[in-house]
Amino acid sequence: MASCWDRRRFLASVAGTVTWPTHGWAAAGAPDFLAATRDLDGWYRLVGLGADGDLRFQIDLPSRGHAAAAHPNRPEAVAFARRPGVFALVVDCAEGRALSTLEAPPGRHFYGHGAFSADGALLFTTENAFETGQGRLGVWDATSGYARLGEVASGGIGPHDVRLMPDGRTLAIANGGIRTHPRSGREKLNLATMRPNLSYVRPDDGTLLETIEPPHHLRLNSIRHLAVGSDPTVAVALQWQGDPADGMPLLAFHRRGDAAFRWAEAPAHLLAAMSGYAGSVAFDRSGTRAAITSPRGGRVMAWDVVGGNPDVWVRPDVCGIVADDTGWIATDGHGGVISLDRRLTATKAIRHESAFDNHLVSLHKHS
Amino acid sequence: MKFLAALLLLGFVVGSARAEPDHAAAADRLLSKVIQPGTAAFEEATATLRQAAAPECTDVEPAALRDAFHGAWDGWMAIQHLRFGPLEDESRSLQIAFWPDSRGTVGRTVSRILATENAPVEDTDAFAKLSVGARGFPALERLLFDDSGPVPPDDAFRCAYAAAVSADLERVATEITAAWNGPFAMIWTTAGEDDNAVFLAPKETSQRIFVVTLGTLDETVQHRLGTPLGTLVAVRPKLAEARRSGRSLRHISLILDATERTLMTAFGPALEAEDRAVLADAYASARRDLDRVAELGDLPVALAESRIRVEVLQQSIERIAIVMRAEIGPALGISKGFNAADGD
Repeated sequence: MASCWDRRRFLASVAGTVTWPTHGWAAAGAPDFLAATRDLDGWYRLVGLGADGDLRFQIDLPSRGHAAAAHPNRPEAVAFARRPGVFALVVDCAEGRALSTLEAPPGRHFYGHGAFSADGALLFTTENAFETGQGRLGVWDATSGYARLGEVASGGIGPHDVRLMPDGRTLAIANGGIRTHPRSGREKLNLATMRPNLSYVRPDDGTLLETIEPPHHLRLNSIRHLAVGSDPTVAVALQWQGDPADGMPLLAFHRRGDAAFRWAEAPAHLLAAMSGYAGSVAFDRSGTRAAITSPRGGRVMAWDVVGGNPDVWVRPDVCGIVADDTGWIATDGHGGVISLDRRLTATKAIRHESAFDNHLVSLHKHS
Repeated sequence: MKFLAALLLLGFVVGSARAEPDHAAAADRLLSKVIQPGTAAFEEATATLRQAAAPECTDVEPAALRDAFHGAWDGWMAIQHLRFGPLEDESRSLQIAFWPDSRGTVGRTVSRILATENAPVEDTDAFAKLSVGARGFPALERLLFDDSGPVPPDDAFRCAYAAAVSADLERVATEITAAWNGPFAMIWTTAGEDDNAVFLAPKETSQRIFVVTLGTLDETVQHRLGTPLGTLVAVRPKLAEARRSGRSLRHISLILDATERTLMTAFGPALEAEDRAVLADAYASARRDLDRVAELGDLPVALAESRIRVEVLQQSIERIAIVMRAEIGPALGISKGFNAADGD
């Protein structure tokens, strides 16, 4: 059974022309991206920042956030707790208040990422059906208070990040391959047999269109985060579960139909300095060059989409990254918001007094 | 009423004692008392090494070359923990010492080069482009020592290779001193100013000192001691750092000296006497435990003689790191970071 949610409601919601009685993201100060923060007093917030790093809005969160999904046309974000969280908060970023709460159904928890459909009618969330360990994609009705419509298989274990492909009909899903159970917290239960993959799923009927795994010697490379570039190429950011000093590649590219990933290579000592851990990934606006961050290595590295021409930039605890007009903007756990050009030269930097958590979410399409 | 007043007064005193430390002064002190003299001494020691490894290889004096090798590596151990800016740019610290070398890259690379005699040992620029596994102190150690002890560099290629590694070390050391006496010194001393895109606030220099110092202590616990300790059934004495030249414990001793000096120079004046004493005690007991290991021999021998003494040393270095995290960091208002500590 590929699908266990009501497809007719999906089609109805897609077919019906939805006009929102709102003013879009301009009402929330027209932020360019969203981030989760922790301030000096230990409060967690969801904030909107402008391209120059200035604060456009901030909203308190009940606990530490991981990532957020931004509605394509309403100033509305769904902020996810860190895994294994069972709630997500729907926030009106213009009014600064919570609209509703998503609660994971019994036997499920969220992994911390989600994506909206192109029209904003549906929200998809990565989830763990933890008794069986199967990855799930929850489907929620964003037109009426985020009722749960159902779920489809994610195509693997441990789905973490999910992105809508430019066709508007396909989701790319990072199945990390690592099984966990809330009973044992974040403990990894299946490293000996883990098989991460990138899956392309059609959410309206749950069809698994294509799935691709790293080669055997990179089996311990957990696919965690995604970005979609031009062509469209998907960039996957990975976390190596073996010895960090192995210097394994932590970024790979894939296009639908390609039989294998293209790996972003660099001298082993440069990769080893990333400590086996990529935290976030983003294409630049051209969609032809991608950057990954490593908070553990305190570095950003960028490659061309063919996997060559690597650059390195050093910044302790750097993790969030999104494209801006000239390259990328990176954030870190010490409050830094730094503009980087396409060769990773820092061109501008400001510092907030709060720590930026794992991810930045762009409010521009296709970045 | 008197009691309440005393409490309020106490609160006031405690509160004011935790005022923001002078981070700019800490950075200045470290620069002038540790970094600049340390990098200059390292450069000088590598110049001595280069001279001792005379490229013509006609009058190499093996004992003098080994002394110069030890002197230069000692010089590196006094500053190697300062892995940011000049030491990190161009992966310089890895060019100088590729370690930890979990896959045995250096041994494999050096053996291959010796077997094929295929490396640009006469061409400085081309040599500088070889992989880090072919260069630096671990490679030089393989050229001057084997499992049984010193190897006289009387073979012409081996000698020329040792000379090339030595000259390459001096080149990197010169780049480091140039950066720390020029552009990076400017960046280091202008933390928080508008055009500084490296240190965005004065406290970021203190943060960096703290994190790299902690990093080298953690690395010592985990790799310098933890890797050879292995497990009870699989002890791995041959994975001890620099064991061929008998330097394994010497490195730990030099790291204790360098990290304590760094912490006390940068942060000592801002710490309360009690915090300073706790830190000094932790270092003193680690040195005592190191002496207890060293009296048995270098690390591989000591491991065979008394595993427990090595474990005690490991724990006492771990205690320094705990004191840093629990006492020193909070006292200075700095910590290791937010994202680096966990994963998702």
